[in-house]
Amino acid sequence: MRPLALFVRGREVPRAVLCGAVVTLVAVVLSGRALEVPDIRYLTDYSVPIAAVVPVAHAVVLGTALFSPMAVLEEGAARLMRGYESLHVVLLTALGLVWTAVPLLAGLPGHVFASSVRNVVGFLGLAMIGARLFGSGLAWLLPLVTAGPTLLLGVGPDNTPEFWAWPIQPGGHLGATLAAAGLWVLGLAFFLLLGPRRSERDEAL
Amino acid sequence: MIRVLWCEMRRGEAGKVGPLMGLIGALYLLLEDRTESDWIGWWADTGIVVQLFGVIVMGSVMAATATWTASRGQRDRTRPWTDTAARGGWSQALLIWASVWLWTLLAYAVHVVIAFGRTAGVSDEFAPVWEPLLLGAAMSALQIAVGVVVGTLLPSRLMAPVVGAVWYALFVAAAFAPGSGIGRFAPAVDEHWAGSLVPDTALMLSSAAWCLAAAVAVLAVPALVRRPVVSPRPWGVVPVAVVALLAAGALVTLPEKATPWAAAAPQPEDPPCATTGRTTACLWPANRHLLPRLERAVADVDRALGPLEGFNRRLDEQWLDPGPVAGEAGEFAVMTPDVGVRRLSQDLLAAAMPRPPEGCEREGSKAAGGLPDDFLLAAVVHHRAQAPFDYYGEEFAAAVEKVVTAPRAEQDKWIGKAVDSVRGCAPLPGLPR
Repeated sequence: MRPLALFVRGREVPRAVLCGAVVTLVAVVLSGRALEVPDIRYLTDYSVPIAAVVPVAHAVVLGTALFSPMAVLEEGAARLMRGYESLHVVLLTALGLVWTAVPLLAGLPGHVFASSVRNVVGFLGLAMIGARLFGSGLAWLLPLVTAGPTLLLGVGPDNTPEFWAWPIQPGGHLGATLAAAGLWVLGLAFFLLLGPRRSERDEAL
Repeated sequence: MIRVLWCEMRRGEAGKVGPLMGLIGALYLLLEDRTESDWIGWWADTGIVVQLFGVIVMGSVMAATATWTASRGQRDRTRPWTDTAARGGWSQALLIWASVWLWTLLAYAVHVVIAFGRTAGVSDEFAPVWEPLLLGAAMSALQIAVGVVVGTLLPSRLMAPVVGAVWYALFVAAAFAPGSGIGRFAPAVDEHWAGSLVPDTALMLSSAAWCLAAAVAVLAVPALVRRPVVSPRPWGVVPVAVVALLAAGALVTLPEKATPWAAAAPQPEDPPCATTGRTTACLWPANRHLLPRLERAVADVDRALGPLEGFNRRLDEQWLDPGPVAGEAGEFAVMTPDVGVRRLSQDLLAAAMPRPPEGCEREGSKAAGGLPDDFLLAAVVHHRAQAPFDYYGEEFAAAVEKVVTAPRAEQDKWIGKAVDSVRGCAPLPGLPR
């Protein structure tokens, strides 16, 4: 257990947990509110529950735990690190799922919880992809770049989400669920198969 | 200094994130369907859309990028060198800020060109509205400056995404609390103006001045707080801070309005109008490009109403003040800048319907299936004009059928009485036998 605890601490998971708790608190307080499409899109009348938007924040916080300060040592480790890294990703995903489940205690409806779960899985996948493509310091880039345009532009004139706007689809939407799951799987593959970028191996934080 | 700035622009993360944001915004602006768009063709709304994307989406992401860039010294362990450099802390912060903001402005400029190009293809006039764009650029400057400050003072892997998420959350909070003042100090203009509203230039310039001055002033904070770096001279920081405070004071004192960032457009002396027979419809000048379609729509409505009396024959776009007119007047809204003839005809026909006097509440009637009976009059007229009308159940449809299958003269007589009833706040006459 001690090596596992050190592994998790080395990746700043406790810090991410603390920050995620703050975000969860905000989600609980705002669990009954919904975010409407901006007024400039006056022909549309669509809103997204806040609880379905908060997973973006969870994902970018969890993405900060994708950095390894010992990447150079790990490359020369006697054991392959892929198993540990897989467990690490599963742990981060589990943390995200736990955080999205907390608002259930405040009366969050089941279908909103379903969209929250889908979104935290999908955005975490995007964070993993970004961590390997751009460096773990920019793991937040793809989730934030996806969330903003989706909320601003993702509802069509027929008042339904565009085909690419999976985060704002209602809970249980099959296409959106598959998209999120696919992003998570792709992110995991990127995370395991591609090593950290050379530039981040010398980073102190 | 310029060479260092150019080096930072090439090396920094903003050189990758800026073009990415530029591409995403460009794709949205280019792929928007012109016929269904709610902004392509209206200069004011075009400016607002570009500004909103630039502030809410691009500004937040670039602020996070600036945070990450500003923490590079700590990350790469070069802070002892940068702290003892000949350039002071404020100068270094300004450099990082400028390197990120310039990439943001470049993407912003591309969006402006694309969006205004598309609107120029629809509108008959060239009247770009620049105030929202200026405000958006200034606000992104403030966002990025805050990012640089946070990244310098709290150089941590966590702070970059937190800054991005907090900026998003602030705009959500401003939407939830419209009178709180957040909107004026962290401006993101989110309003629909079309042709009837113009920017409140004084307010927007004040807010832009606040954003720019606050951005430059707040960038001095790390240099003032951190001991190792050379602090800025007071004669440099104080004037900027004073400008920011004066602009903030102006923002606080300017009155709140229903449409916070806009003012009513002056009534045009010669609005574009189309007349056929007894029916006239007029538009705001911003919709002059719709005049040919309006002429066809007015002809459709005049043909549909024929010699019927009591309908609104002078139809004006919403908030257009016709002044003293002979006969009854109605109002219609132009829903999209590229609205088609069919939709215009339907909207004009709906606007031509007589309205009950103020204070009159029409009760549901059996003949109208429980709905207010003026619905029945509107349905009959729309049916005769072969225009679509909502279906309100079998009983309602049967009542409409009873009127429209009667001889033409009887229909006209019933409609005439029905119009008098609506205007007189009396129940509709019985259906033709």
